Amino acid sequence: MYPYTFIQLTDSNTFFGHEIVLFHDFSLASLMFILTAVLLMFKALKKKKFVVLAYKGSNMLEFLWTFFPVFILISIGLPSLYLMYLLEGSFKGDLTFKVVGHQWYWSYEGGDFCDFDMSSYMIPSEDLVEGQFRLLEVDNTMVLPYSTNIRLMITSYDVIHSWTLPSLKMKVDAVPGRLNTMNIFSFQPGSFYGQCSEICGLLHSFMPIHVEFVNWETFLNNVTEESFN
Amino acid sequence: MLRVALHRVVSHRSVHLTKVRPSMVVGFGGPVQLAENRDPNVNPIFHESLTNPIPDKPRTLKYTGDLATLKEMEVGDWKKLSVEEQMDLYNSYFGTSIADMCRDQDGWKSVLGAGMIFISFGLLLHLFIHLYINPPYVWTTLDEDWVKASIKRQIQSHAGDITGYSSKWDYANNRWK
Repeated sequence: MYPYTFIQLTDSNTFFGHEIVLFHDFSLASLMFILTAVLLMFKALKKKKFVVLAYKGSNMLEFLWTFFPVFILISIGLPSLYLMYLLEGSFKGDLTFKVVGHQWYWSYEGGDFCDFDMSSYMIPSEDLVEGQFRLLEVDNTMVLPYSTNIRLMITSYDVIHSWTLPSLKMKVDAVPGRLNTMNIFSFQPGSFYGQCSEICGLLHSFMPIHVEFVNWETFLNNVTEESFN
Repeated sequence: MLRVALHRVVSHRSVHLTKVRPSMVVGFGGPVQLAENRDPNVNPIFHESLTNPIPDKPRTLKYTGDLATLKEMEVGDWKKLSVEEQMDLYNSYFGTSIADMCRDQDGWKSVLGAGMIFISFGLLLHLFIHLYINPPYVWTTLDEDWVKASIKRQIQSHAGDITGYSSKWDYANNRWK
Protein backbone atom coordinates (compact mmCIF):
# COMPACT_ATOMS: atom_id res chain seq x y z
CA MET A 1 0.00 0.00 0.00
CA TYR A 2 1.32 3.36 -0.91
CA PRO A 3 0.41 7.03 -0.86
CA TYR A 4 -1.53 8.48 -3.76
CA THR A 5 1.54 10.16 -5.20
CA PHE A 6 3.40 6.88 -5.60
CA ILE A 7 4.14 6.19 -9.27
CA GLN A 8 6.81 3.48 -9.16
CA LEU A 9 6.37 -0.28 -9.19
CA THR A 10 5.48 -1.81 -5.83
CA ASP A 11 7.99 -3.64 -3.70
CA SER A 12 8.32 -7.26 -4.72
CA ASN A 13 8.02 -10.25 -2.54
CA THR A 14 9.24 -12.77 -5.09
CA PHE A 15 12.46 -13.41 -6.92
CA PHE A 16 10.79 -12.89 -10.29
CA GLY A 17 9.38 -9.62 -9.05
CA HIS A 18 12.86 -8.23 -8.42
CA GLU A 19 13.93 -9.27 -11.91
CA ILE A 20 10.86 -7.64 -13.42
CA VAL A 21 11.51 -4.36 -11.60
CA LEU A 22 15.13 -4.34 -12.78
CA PHE A 23 14.10 -4.98 -16.37
CA HIS A 24 11.45 -2.27 -16.13
CA ASP A 25 14.03 0.25 -14.91
CA PHE A 26 16.42 -0.72 -17.70
CA SER A 27 13.70 -0.41 -20.39
CA LEU A 28 12.70 3.01 -19.11
CA ALA A 29 16.32 4.15 -19.18
CA SER A 30 16.55 3.11 -22.85
CA LEU A 31 13.30 4.93 -23.59
CA MET A 32 14.53 8.09 -21.87
CA PHE A 33 17.69 7.97 -23.98
CA ILE A 34 15.69 7.66 -27.20
CA LEU A 35 13.26 10.39 -26.15
CA THR A 36 16.06 12.79 -25.25
CA ALA A 37 17.84 12.15 -28.54
CA VAL A 38 14.67 12.78 -30.55
CA LEU A 39 13.81 15.95 -28.61
CA LEU A 40 17.32 17.29 -29.15
CA MET A 41 16.94 16.60 -32.88
CA PHE A 42 13.65 18.52 -32.92
CA LYS A 43 15.31 21.41 -31.11
CA ALA A 44 18.15 21.49 -33.64
CA LEU A 45 15.82 21.39 -36.65
CA LYS A 46 13.71 24.23 -35.23
CA LYS A 47 16.50 26.75 -35.84
CA LYS A 48 15.63 26.97 -39.58
CA LYS A 49 19.21 26.78 -40.70
CA PHE A 50 18.68 23.69 -42.83
CA VAL A 51 17.26 25.26 -45.97
CA VAL A 52 18.00 22.64 -48.62
CA LEU A 53 16.77 19.57 -46.73
CA ALA A 54 14.75 18.48 -49.73
CA TYR A 55 17.76 18.55 -52.07
CA LYS A 56 20.27 16.54 -50.09
CA GLY A 57 20.47 12.90 -49.19
CA SER A 58 22.96 10.66 -47.51
CA ASN A 59 22.99 6.92 -47.85
CA MET A 60 25.53 6.62 -45.03
CA LEU A 61 23.28 8.54 -42.64
CA GLU A 62 20.29 6.41 -43.54
CA PHE A 63 22.32 3.26 -43.00
CA LEU A 64 23.58 4.48 -39.60
CA TRP A 65 20.19 5.41 -38.23
CA THR A 66 18.79 2.06 -39.27
CA PHE A 67 21.74 0.02 -38.02
CA PHE A 68 22.30 1.44 -34.53
CA PRO A 69 18.71 1.14 -33.25
CA VAL A 70 19.02 -2.60 -33.85
CA PHE A 71 21.43 -2.77 -30.92
CA ILE A 72 18.98 -0.91 -28.71
CA LEU A 73 16.24 -3.35 -29.67
CA ILE A 74 18.45 -6.35 -29.02
CA SER A 75 19.44 -4.97 -25.64
CA ILE A 76 15.78 -4.68 -24.67
CA GLY A 77 14.67 -7.91 -26.32
CA LEU A 78 17.23 -10.32 -24.88
CA PRO A 79 16.50 -9.64 -21.19
CA SER A 80 12.80 -9.67 -21.97
CA LEU A 81 13.02 -13.14 -23.51
CA TYR A 82 15.17 -14.36 -20.64
CA LEU A 83 12.61 -13.10 -18.14
CA MET A 84 9.74 -14.62 -20.07
CA TYR A 85 11.31 -18.07 -20.05
CA LEU A 86 12.17 -17.70 -16.38
CA LEU A 87 8.58 -16.87 -15.48
CA GLU A 88 6.99 -19.51 -17.66
CA GLY A 89 9.44 -22.21 -16.77
CA SER A 90 7.73 -24.79 -14.68
CA PHE A 91 8.73 -25.76 -11.23
CA LYS A 92 7.11 -28.28 -9.06
CA GLY A 93 4.47 -26.78 -6.86
CA ASP A 94 4.12 -28.13 -3.35
CA LEU A 95 0.51 -27.01 -3.16
CA THR A 96 -2.15 -26.42 -5.78
CA PHE A 97 -5.08 -24.08 -5.55
CA LYS A 98 -7.74 -23.08 -7.98
CA VAL A 99 -9.00 -19.54 -8.48
CA VAL A 100 -12.28 -19.05 -10.31
CA GLY A 101 -13.54 -15.69 -11.45
CA HIS A 102 -17.20 -14.89 -11.39
CA GLN A 103 -19.29 -11.84 -12.05
CA TRP A 104 -18.40 -10.19 -9.71
CA TYR A 105 -16.38 -12.02 -7.08
CA TRP A 106 -13.60 -14.56 -6.81
CA SER A 107 -13.85 -18.07 -5.46
CA TYR A 108 -10.96 -20.17 -4.21
CA GLU A 109 -10.82 -23.94 -4.14
CA GLY A 110 -8.23 -26.22 -2.66
CA GLY A 111 -8.07 -29.96 -2.84
CA ASP A 112 -4.62 -31.11 -1.87
CA PHE A 113 -5.41 -32.42 1.57
CA CYS A 114 -8.60 -30.67 2.63
CA ASP A 115 -11.39 -29.78 0.29
CA PHE A 116 -12.49 -26.24 0.66
CA ASP A 117 -14.34 -23.83 -1.50
CA MET A 118 -14.95 -20.24 -0.49
CA SER A 119 -16.16 -17.09 -2.19
CA SER A 120 -14.53 -13.72 -1.69
CA TYR A 121 -16.76 -10.68 -1.99
CA MET A 122 -15.76 -7.06 -1.58
CA ILE A 123 -16.77 -5.35 1.67
CA PRO A 124 -18.88 -2.27 0.74
CA SER A 125 -17.52 1.13 1.73
CA GLU A 126 -20.33 1.69 4.25
CA ASP A 127 -19.30 -1.43 6.20
CA LEU A 128 -15.62 -0.60 6.46
CA VAL A 129 -13.93 -0.12 9.83
CA GLU A 130 -11.72 2.95 10.15
CA GLY A 131 -8.34 2.28 8.60
CA GLN A 132 -9.47 -0.36 6.12
CA PHE A 133 -8.79 0.16 2.45
CA ARG A 134 -11.66 1.19 0.22
CA LEU A 135 -12.48 -1.20 -2.66
CA LEU A 136 -9.80 -3.63 -1.49
CA GLU A 137 -11.13 -5.37 1.60
CA VAL A 138 -12.90 -8.68 1.20
CA ASP A 139 -14.91 -10.87 3.53
CA ASN A 140 -12.90 -14.08 2.97
CA THR A 141 -9.19 -13.73 2.27
CA MET A 142 -7.10 -16.38 0.59
CA VAL A 143 -4.62 -17.68 3.14
CA LEU A 144 -1.44 -19.26 1.80
CA PRO A 145 1.84 -20.36 3.38
CA TYR A 146 4.91 -18.26 2.64
CA SER A 147 8.26 -19.64 1.43
CA THR A 148 6.36 -22.40 -0.36
CA ASN A 149 6.06 -23.16 -4.05
CA ILE A 150 2.38 -22.86 -4.80
CA ARG A 151 0.73 -23.57 -8.11
CA LEU A 152 -2.34 -21.54 -8.93
CA MET A 153 -4.77 -22.62 -11.60
CA ILE A 154 -6.91 -19.76 -12.68
CA THR A 155 -10.08 -19.90 -14.69
CA SER A 156 -13.41 -18.21 -14.98
CA TYR A 157 -17.01 -19.21 -14.75
CA ASP A 158 -18.53 -16.66 -17.09
CA VAL A 159 -16.49 -13.89 -18.75
CA ILE A 160 -12.78 -13.08 -18.85
CA HIS A 161 -11.37 -11.70 -15.61
CA SER A 162 -7.77 -11.16 -14.56
CA TRP A 163 -6.30 -12.12 -11.21
CA THR A 164 -3.71 -9.55 -10.26
CA LEU A 165 -1.32 -9.11 -7.36
CA PRO A 166 1.03 -6.17 -8.00
CA SER A 167 3.19 -6.92 -4.96
CA LEU A 168 3.94 -10.35 -6.36
CA LYS A 169 4.14 -9.05 -9.95
CA MET A 170 1.38 -11.38 -10.96
CA LYS A 171 -1.31 -10.91 -13.53
CA VAL A 172 -3.08 -13.94 -14.93
CA ASP A 173 -6.13 -13.87 -17.14
CA ALA A 174 -9.05 -15.95 -15.99
CA VAL A 175 -10.50 -17.23 -19.23
CA PRO A 176 -13.64 -19.37 -19.28
CA GLY A 177 -12.96 -22.86 -20.54
CA ARG A 178 -9.22 -22.57 -19.98
CA LEU A 179 -6.93 -23.22 -17.02
CA ASN A 180 -4.02 -20.80 -16.78
CA THR A 181 -1.30 -21.94 -14.44
CA MET A 182 0.99 -19.63 -12.53
CA ASN A 183 3.49 -20.27 -9.78
CA ILE A 184 3.49 -18.14 -6.71
CA PHE A 185 6.13 -17.85 -4.00
CA SER A 186 6.44 -15.21 -1.31
CA PHE A 187 9.64 -14.49 0.58
CA GLN A 188 7.90 -13.24 3.67
CA PRO A 189 4.52 -13.22 5.36
CA GLY A 190 2.23 -10.35 4.67
CA SER A 191 -1.04 -9.10 3.32
CA PHE A 192 -1.30 -8.34 -0.41
CA TYR A 193 -4.09 -6.74 -2.36
CA GLY A 194 -5.04 -6.72 -5.99
CA GLN A 195 -7.97 -5.96 -8.25
CA CYS A 196 -9.58 -7.53 -11.27
CA SER A 197 -7.71 -6.35 -14.36
CA GLU A 198 -9.93 -7.34 -17.26
CA ILE A 199 -13.18 -5.54 -17.91
CA CYS A 200 -15.92 -7.90 -16.98
CA GLY A 201 -19.08 -5.91 -16.55
CA LEU A 202 -20.80 -3.58 -14.18
CA LEU A 203 -18.87 -4.32 -10.99
CA HIS A 204 -15.50 -4.93 -12.58
CA SER A 205 -13.88 -2.38 -10.24
CA PHE A 206 -15.48 -3.98 -7.19
CA MET A 207 -14.04 -7.48 -7.13
CA PRO A 208 -10.75 -7.22 -5.29
CA ILE A 209 -8.24 -9.89 -4.35
CA HIS A 210 -6.74 -10.24 -0.91
CA VAL A 211 -4.06 -12.82 -0.20
CA GLU A 212 -2.42 -13.36 3.17
CA PHE A 213 0.81 -15.25 3.47
CA VAL A 214 1.20 -16.86 6.88
CA ASN A 215 3.28 -19.55 8.52
CA TRP A 216 2.38 -23.21 8.04
CA GLU A 217 0.70 -23.62 11.38
CA THR A 218 -1.69 -20.75 10.80
CA PHE A 219 -2.30 -21.90 7.26
CA LEU A 220 -3.18 -25.44 8.31
CA ASN A 221 -5.50 -24.15 11.01
CA ASN A 222 -7.21 -21.90 8.50
CA VAL A 223 -7.57 -24.59 5.87
CA THR A 224 -9.02 -27.02 8.36
CA GLU A 225 -11.51 -24.41 9.56
CA GLU A 226 -12.55 -23.58 5.99
CA SER A 227 -13.03 -27.21 5.04
CA PHE A 228 -15.24 -27.85 8.05
CA ASN A 229 -17.24 -24.68 7.34
CA MET B 1 28.26 19.96 -59.84
CA LEU B 2 24.54 20.41 -59.49
CA ARG B 3 24.78 20.29 -55.70
CA VAL B 4 27.42 23.05 -55.71
CA ALA B 5 25.43 25.14 -58.16
CA LEU B 6 22.24 24.74 -56.15
CA HIS B 7 23.99 25.72 -52.93
CA ARG B 8 25.33 28.83 -54.60
CA VAL B 9 21.94 29.78 -55.98
CA VAL B 10 20.18 29.27 -52.67
CA SER B 11 22.83 31.18 -50.74
CA HIS B 12 22.43 34.01 -53.23
CA ARG B 13 18.71 33.90 -52.72
CA SER B 14 19.13 34.16 -48.97
CA VAL B 15 21.83 36.87 -48.98
CA HIS B 16 20.61 39.25 -51.64
CA LEU B 17 17.24 40.84 -52.07
CA THR B 18 16.19 40.19 -48.53
CA LYS B 19 13.91 43.20 -48.46
CA VAL B 20 12.02 42.48 -51.62
CA ARG B 21 8.64 42.44 -49.98
CA PRO B 22 8.98 43.43 -46.33
CA SER B 23 5.25 43.37 -45.76
CA MET B 24 4.67 39.99 -47.37
CA VAL B 25 2.63 37.65 -45.25
CA VAL B 26 4.30 34.26 -44.91
CA GLY B 27 1.58 31.78 -45.67
CA PHE B 28 1.13 28.98 -48.13
CA GLY B 29 3.90 29.85 -50.57
CA GLY B 30 2.89 33.43 -51.29
CA PRO B 31 -0.01 35.83 -51.08
CA VAL B 32 -3.32 34.00 -51.06
CA GLN B 33 -5.68 34.76 -53.93
CA LEU B 34 -9.44 34.79 -53.60
CA ALA B 35 -11.37 32.76 -56.18
CA GLU B 36 -13.20 35.73 -57.73
CA ASN B 37 -10.05 37.82 -57.99
CA ARG B 38 -7.76 35.07 -59.25
CA ASP B 39 -5.15 36.29 -61.67
CA PRO B 40 -4.83 33.68 -64.46
CA ASN B 41 -1.18 34.58 -64.85
CA VAL B 42 -0.32 33.47 -61.30
CA ASN B 43 0.44 29.79 -60.66
CA PRO B 44 -2.33 28.59 -58.25
CA ILE B 45 -0.34 25.59 -56.99
CA PHE B 46 2.84 27.50 -56.36
CA HIS B 47 4.40 26.38 -53.09
CA GLU B 48 7.67 27.45 -51.51
CA SER B 49 9.07 26.85 -48.05
CA LEU B 50 12.37 26.45 -46.27
CA THR B 51 12.48 22.79 -47.24
CA ASN B 52 11.50 23.59 -50.84
CA PRO B 53 13.13 26.94 -51.56
CA ILE B 54 13.30 26.71 -55.36
CA PRO B 55 10.04 25.43 -56.83
CA ASP B 56 10.01 23.88 -60.27
CA LYS B 57 7.51 26.27 -61.78
CA PRO B 58 7.59 30.02 -61.18
CA ARG B 59 4.82 32.02 -59.56
CA THR B 60 4.08 33.81 -62.82
CA LEU B 61 2.91 31.51 -65.60
CA LYS B 62 2.76 33.93 -68.50
CA TYR B 63 5.11 36.81 -68.94
CA THR B 64 3.46 39.75 -70.67
CA GLY B 65 4.39 43.38 -71.30
CA ASP B 66 7.32 44.66 -69.30
CA LEU B 67 7.93 41.28 -67.72
CA ALA B 68 8.33 39.71 -71.15
CA THR B 69 10.95 42.33 -72.00
CA LEU B 70 12.74 41.66 -68.73
CA LYS B 71 12.69 37.93 -69.39
CA GLU B 72 14.49 38.48 -72.65
CA MET B 73 17.07 40.67 -70.91
CA GLU B 74 17.48 37.96 -68.25
CA VAL B 75 19.01 35.70 -70.88
CA GLY B 76 21.89 38.13 -71.29
CA ASP B 77 24.32 39.59 -68.75
CA TRP B 78 22.71 40.22 -65.34
CA LYS B 79 25.06 43.11 -64.61
CA LYS B 80 23.19 45.14 -67.22
CA LEU B 81 19.98 44.88 -65.17
CA SER B 82 19.23 47.49 -62.56
CA VAL B 83 18.37 46.54 -58.98
CA GLU B 84 14.65 47.27 -59.53
CA GLU B 85 14.62 45.07 -62.65
CA GLN B 86 16.29 42.26 -60.73
CA MET B 87 13.70 42.64 -57.97
CA ASP B 88 10.87 42.48 -60.51
CA LEU B 89 12.31 39.28 -61.97
CA TYR B 90 12.71 37.83 -58.50
CA ASN B 91 9.14 38.71 -57.57
CA SER B 92 7.87 37.17 -60.77
CA TYR B 93 9.42 33.81 -59.85
CA PHE B 94 9.16 33.68 -56.06
CA GLY B 95 6.42 34.65 -53.64
CA THR B 96 8.43 35.60 -50.61
CA SER B 97 12.03 35.86 -49.49
CA ILE B 98 14.04 33.53 -47.30
CA ALA B 99 14.37 36.22 -44.64
CA ASP B 100 10.60 36.50 -44.45
CA MET B 101 10.29 32.74 -44.12
CA CYS B 102 12.80 32.68 -41.28
CA ARG B 103 11.24 35.60 -39.47
CA ASP B 104 9.48 34.68 -36.22
CA GLN B 105 5.72 34.88 -36.35
CA ASP B 106 3.49 36.01 -33.55
CA GLY B 107 0.29 34.14 -34.34
CA TRP B 108 0.89 31.91 -31.36
CA LYS B 109 0.17 34.82 -29.03
CA SER B 110 -3.40 35.09 -30.32
CA VAL B 111 -3.93 31.36 -30.01
CA LEU B 112 -2.53 31.31 -26.47
CA GLY B 113 -4.64 34.29 -25.47
CA ALA B 114 -7.84 32.76 -26.82
CA GLY B 115 -7.04 29.48 -25.09
CA MET B 116 -6.47 31.24 -21.79
CA ILE B 117 -9.81 33.04 -22.10
CA PHE B 118 -11.64 29.75 -22.51
CA ILE B 119 -9.71 28.17 -19.64
CA SER B 120 -10.55 31.08 -17.38
CA PHE B 121 -14.26 30.68 -18.17
CA GLY B 122 -14.00 27.06 -17.15
CA LEU B 123 -12.24 27.95 -13.92
CA LEU B 124 -14.88 30.59 -13.11
CA LEU B 125 -17.58 27.99 -13.59
CA HIS B 126 -15.72 25.60 -11.31
CA LEU B 127 -15.41 28.28 -8.65
CA PHE B 128 -19.12 29.06 -8.87
CA ILE B 129 -20.04 25.40 -8.44
CA HIS B 130 -17.59 25.01 -5.59
CA LEU B 131 -19.01 28.01 -3.71
CA TYR B 132 -22.75 27.78 -4.35
CA ILE B 133 -23.68 24.29 -5.51
CA ASN B 134 -21.44 21.92 -3.53
CA PRO B 135 -23.30 19.23 -1.57
CA PRO B 136 -22.92 18.98 2.22
CA TYR B 137 -19.90 17.20 3.66
CA VAL B 138 -19.93 13.37 3.61
CA TRP B 139 -17.30 11.23 5.26
CA THR B 140 -14.77 9.59 2.97
CA THR B 141 -11.77 7.35 3.31
CA LEU B 142 -9.66 10.40 2.54
CA ASP B 143 -10.42 12.07 5.88
CA GLU B 144 -7.37 12.71 7.99
CA ASP B 145 -8.32 10.25 10.74
CA TRP B 146 -9.05 7.49 8.27
CA VAL B 147 -5.79 8.02 6.38
CA LYS B 148 -3.82 7.95 9.65
CA ALA B 149 -5.56 4.73 10.66
CA SER B 150 -4.80 3.14 7.30
CA ILE B 151 -1.14 4.16 7.52
CA LYS B 152 -0.99 2.63 10.99
CA ARG B 153 -2.49 -0.57 9.55
CA GLN B 154 0.10 -0.65 6.80
CA ILE B 155 2.92 -0.25 9.30
CA GLN B 156 1.48 -3.00 11.48
CA SER B 157 1.32 -5.36 8.48
CA HIS B 158 4.81 -4.34 7.27
CA ALA B 159 3.44 -3.32 3.90
CA GLY B 160 5.91 -1.50 1.68
CA ASP B 161 8.99 -2.46 3.65
CA ILE B 162 11.44 -1.30 0.99
CA THR B 163 10.01 1.92 -0.39
CA GLY B 164 6.67 2.30 1.39
CA TYR B 165 5.56 3.50 4.81
CA SER B 166 7.09 0.58 6.69
CA SER B 167 10.54 1.44 5.39
CA LYS B 168 10.29 4.83 7.10
CA TRP B 169 9.08 3.49 10.48
CA ASP B 170 11.50 2.73 13.26
CA TYR B 171 10.01 -0.42 14.76
CA ALA B 172 12.53 -0.59 17.61
CA ASN B 173 11.61 2.82 18.96
CA ASN B 174 8.02 2.96 17.68
CA ARG B 175 8.34 6.21 15.80
CA TRP B 176 9.18 7.58 12.34
CA LYS B 177 12.79 7.28 11.32
